[in-house]
Amino acid sequence: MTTQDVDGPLTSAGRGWSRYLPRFNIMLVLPAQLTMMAVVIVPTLIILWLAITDWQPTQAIAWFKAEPIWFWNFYDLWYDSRFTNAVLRTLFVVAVCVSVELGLALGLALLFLDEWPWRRVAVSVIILPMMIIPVDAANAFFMLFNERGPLNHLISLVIGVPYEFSWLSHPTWAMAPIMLAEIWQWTPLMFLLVLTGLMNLPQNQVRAAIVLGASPARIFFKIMLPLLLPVISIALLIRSIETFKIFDPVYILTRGQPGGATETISMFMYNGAFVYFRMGYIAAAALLVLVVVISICLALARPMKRHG
Amino acid sequence: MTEDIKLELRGVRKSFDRVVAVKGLDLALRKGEFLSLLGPSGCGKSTTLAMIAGFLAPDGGDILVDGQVVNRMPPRKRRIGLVFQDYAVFSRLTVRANLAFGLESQGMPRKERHRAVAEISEKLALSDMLDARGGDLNMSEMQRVALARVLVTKPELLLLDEPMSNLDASLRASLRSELKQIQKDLEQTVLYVTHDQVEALSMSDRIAVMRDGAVLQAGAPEEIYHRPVDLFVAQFIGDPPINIVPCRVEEVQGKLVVDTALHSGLGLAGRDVPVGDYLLAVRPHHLSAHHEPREGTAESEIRLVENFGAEHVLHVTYGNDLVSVVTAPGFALEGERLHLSLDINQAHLIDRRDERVLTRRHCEAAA
Amino acid sequence: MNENPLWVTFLKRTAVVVAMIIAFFPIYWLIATSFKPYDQWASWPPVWLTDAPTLQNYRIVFFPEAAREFATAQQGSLDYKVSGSAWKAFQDSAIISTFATLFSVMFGTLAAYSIVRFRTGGENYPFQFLTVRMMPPIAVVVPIVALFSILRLSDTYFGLILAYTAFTLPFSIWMIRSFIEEVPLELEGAAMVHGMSQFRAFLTVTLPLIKGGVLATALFIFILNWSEFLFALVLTAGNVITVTLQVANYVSASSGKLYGVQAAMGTISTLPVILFGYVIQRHLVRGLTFGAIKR
Repeated sequence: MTTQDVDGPLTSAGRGWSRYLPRFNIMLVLPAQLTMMAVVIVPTLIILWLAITDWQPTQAIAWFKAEPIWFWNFYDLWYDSRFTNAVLRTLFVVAVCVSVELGLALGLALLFLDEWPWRRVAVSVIILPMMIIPVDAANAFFMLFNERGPLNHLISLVIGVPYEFSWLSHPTWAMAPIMLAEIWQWTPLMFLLVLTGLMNLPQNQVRAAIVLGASPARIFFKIMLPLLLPVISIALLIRSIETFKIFDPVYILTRGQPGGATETISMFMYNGAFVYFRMGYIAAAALLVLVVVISICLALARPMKRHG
Repeated sequence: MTEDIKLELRGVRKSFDRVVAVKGLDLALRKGEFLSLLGPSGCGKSTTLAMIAGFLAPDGGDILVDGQVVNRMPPRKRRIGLVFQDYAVFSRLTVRANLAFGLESQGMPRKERHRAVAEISEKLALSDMLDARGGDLNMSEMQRVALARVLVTKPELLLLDEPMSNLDASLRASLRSELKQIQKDLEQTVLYVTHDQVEALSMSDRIAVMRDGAVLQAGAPEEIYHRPVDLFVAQFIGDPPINIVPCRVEEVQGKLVVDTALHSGLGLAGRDVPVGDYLLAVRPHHLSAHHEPREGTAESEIRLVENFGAEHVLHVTYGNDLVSVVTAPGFALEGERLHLSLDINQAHLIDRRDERVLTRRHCEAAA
Repeated sequence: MNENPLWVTFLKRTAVVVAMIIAFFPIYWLIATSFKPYDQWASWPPVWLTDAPTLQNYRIVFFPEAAREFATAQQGSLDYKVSGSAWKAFQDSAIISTFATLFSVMFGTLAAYSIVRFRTGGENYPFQFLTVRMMPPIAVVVPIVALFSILRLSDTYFGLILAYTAFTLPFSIWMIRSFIEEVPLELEGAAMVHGMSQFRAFLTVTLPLIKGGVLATALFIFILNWSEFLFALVLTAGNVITVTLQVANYVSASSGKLYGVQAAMGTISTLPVILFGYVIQRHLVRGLTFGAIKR
C-alpha cells in the first residue's frame, strides 16, 4: 500500500461500500460545487443575460422576459461619468488605504520584535479593531466624525476655537472618514501578517548583517524587506481585493453622498440597482467589473502560485 | 608581545537563569593563530562565541579585542568576522552582493569594492557564480560565500561556528586543508568552534578543550594528544578513543609497579605516585598485538574487528573490559586469540577521584 | 541586539501605547455612547465619559416598547422605526450564521479532502473557489436577486444561508486543505492496511488530528457570517433580519440616528465576534490568507 496509488480517481484505495460508487472523489466535492453553481455560477450566467437588457423591476416585467438592448448598456457606461468616477475613486481608495495600512503595519511590527512583559496584551488590543463588526465600526466612526463629535472637539481644543466641521457632508472630505474607518479596521490584519513574516525571518541572516557592520536601516531595507516580500505580496493582494469591494463603511457613513462624491464601485452598483432600480444597466457594470477584476487577479496570482 | 594578542578572555562568565553556561573562562589568541574551541554539545563554546561576537553580554569578566575591552560594544563595531553554522547567506541577494555587503556597509568606494570582491572570489573559486542568487546555492557553495563574505572585510578576528557540520563527510577533508591554506595565506587570526576533534587536531595551531563551561586544557595539538591533563581530555581526543582500564600501583622491592587485569609488574621508574588504585589510559596505538606469546604479553580474545582500510581496530578482552588495538589489515579475525603487550611509558595514570592525569618524567621502563 | 539605549526603548513603548489608544478609542466611544442618556448622544461639547450612565439604550434594544415610554417622557419628539425587538435579530443571525457555517465547513471539508488526497479537478480547481472572493459581492447580488425571486428564496432563511455558504466556501476549503496537508498520507495508509477504506481512514484518523483546525475554521467562518451586511441588506425584506441590519433600524424620522441605541446594539452584537476572534487568534493569519501563511 503505497501513497502513490491514490492519484486521481479512487483506484486501489476503495474498500467496502465505496467500491460501489465510482468517482467517489467527485461525490465529495459535489455539495460544495453545487452550492457554488447555484449561488455563483448560475448568477454569473444570468448577468450575461441581464447585461444586455434594460431590466427595471419597477416596470413589472419578469427579468427573463425583458427586452434586450444589446450593447447599449456598455455604451452608456462608457460615457457615464458617475460610473467612471466610481471606478477611479475606488482605485484611489484602494491605493491609499492599502499603502497606509502596509506602512503602519510595518512600522508597528518593528516595535514588536523584542519581548517585554505586556507585549501580548498590546497585541491583543491592537488587533481588536479587526474583530468589530464592520457595520458597528462604521457607526462608531459616524459618531466620531459627527459635527459635534469628539474629533472636532479635539481639534477645537487644539486650535482654541470651536470647530464644527461637517465631515460627512463635505464633497471633498467625506471620503476621509470612510478611508480612516477602513484603515483603522484592517491595519491590525496587515500588522499580524507582517509580524508573522518578521518572526519567521531567518534570524542568522540578520545577525550576519549586523556583524558585517550594517546599520539598522541598511539591514531593514536590504535584508529584511526582501525576505518579507512573499508575505507582503500576499498581504497586498488580499487587502487590495477586499478594499476594492468596500461597501459597509460607505453605506453607513455616507451612502455615497453628497451627490455621489463618495460613491465607490460597490455603492454605485447598489444605488443603481436598489435605489434607481436599473438592474439591467447595473448588471452590465457588474459584468465589466467582474471581467476586469478576475483577469487582473489571475494575472497577478500566477507568479504567486509558483512561490507557493 | 601584548600587541600581538588579538583576542583575550579574562574570567568571562555567563549564566542563563540558573544554568551556568560559561564559568570563568580565560583564553588568549595571538595574531595569525588558528585556535580551536573544542568540546561536546552544551560545553559552552557557542555561548562563548556569541559573547565574543557581541550577541550576548558576559555576566562577568572581560573580552578584549586587540587590547580593547569590548564587553558592551555592539557587534558591528568589533571588527570581527563571523561565519554561522548555517552560513546565513543572504538568500535574496546575489553572491556578488553578499560579498560586497560588508564593504558597502563600511563605505568602501565602488572601484575598490569591485577589486576586493574579484580578489576574494578568485581565492575561493566563486568567480563564475557571482550572479547566482544566494538562496539557489548548495551547502558547500554557501559555505564558501559565507567565508568569502567575511574574509573580504579583513576582520581582526575570524570566528567560525562549526562550519563543516552541514557538509557531506566526503567534502570535509578537502575543505579542511583549503581553509587552513587560506588562513595561512591571509595570516588571518581564527577562532574555530567545533565538536569534531579530527578537525581541531588537523587544523589548529592550538586547541582549547572545553567542558561544562570551562577550558580544561589549552595547548598545541601534540600536547593535548600526548599529555592530556585529565580523563575527559584524554578520552575526547584521539581516534580511536583512548583505552581506560583499572590498575593498581604497588611497591615491590622498593620499586613501583603497575598491575592491570592482564599485565603485571610493569615498572614505573621515574614516577613518584602513592600506592593505590588508579585508572590507566593507553592509546590503541600503544598496545601491540602478537600472534605468539612473548615476554610481557598476555592472552586476549578478539571480540570485534573494525576495518578502516589502511588499518584495523581490534576490540579485545582485557579482564572485564574491552580495549582497542590498532593493527595492520588482515592481522586476525573475530573470535581468534592474540597476545597483547602494553607500553607503560606511553600510558597515563589517572587519579580515580579527581580524574586528573598524574604528570611524570620520562624515563626508561624497568622490566 | 538587546542593547538599545533606554530612551529608544521608551519611545518604542510609547509608540505602542499610542497605537493601543488609537485601536481602542472608537470601541471605547461605542461602548461609552451605549450608556449615555438621550441628551448626551450628540451634544456639544461631546460627552467623553457620561456622568449619568443608563441602561435605557439596552432596554430599547430588547424591549422596543421601552422606547415608547421613553419618547413620551421626552415630550414625544422621538418617533422611531424600530420594527421589532432585537431578539428576533439575534435569533435570525444565530440561525443563519450557524447553519451557513455548518454547511460551509462540512462541504468544505469533504471538498478539501477530495482535493488534497485525490487532486480532484486538477491543480487549478481550488482556485475556482478563490475567484468567488475576488468579485465584489454587489456584482453577483443583482442576478442572485433575480434568481431567488424565481426560486422563491427571497427573504428566506435558506436563501441567505445558501448565499453565505457559497461565499465562505473558499475559506473553508483552503483553510481545511492546509490542515489536511499537514497530516501525512501514511497515517491513512496505515489505517487502510487494517482493512479500512480510505475515507473511513480519513474520518477516524485524519479528522481527529485536525479537529482543532476545523474548529478554528468554523469559528472564523461564523464570524464572517455574523458580521455580514450586504447580502443581508439586499436579500431580505423584513421577514428575516440579522444583527447587522437591526442596527440600521434604529433611526427616527425626526431625530436621525439613535446613536445610543445603535451603540448598545453594536456593542452586544459584536461581543461574540470578539470572543471567537480571540479564541482563534492563532489561526487568524492562516484563515485570512487562505492558508498561504501559517505561523
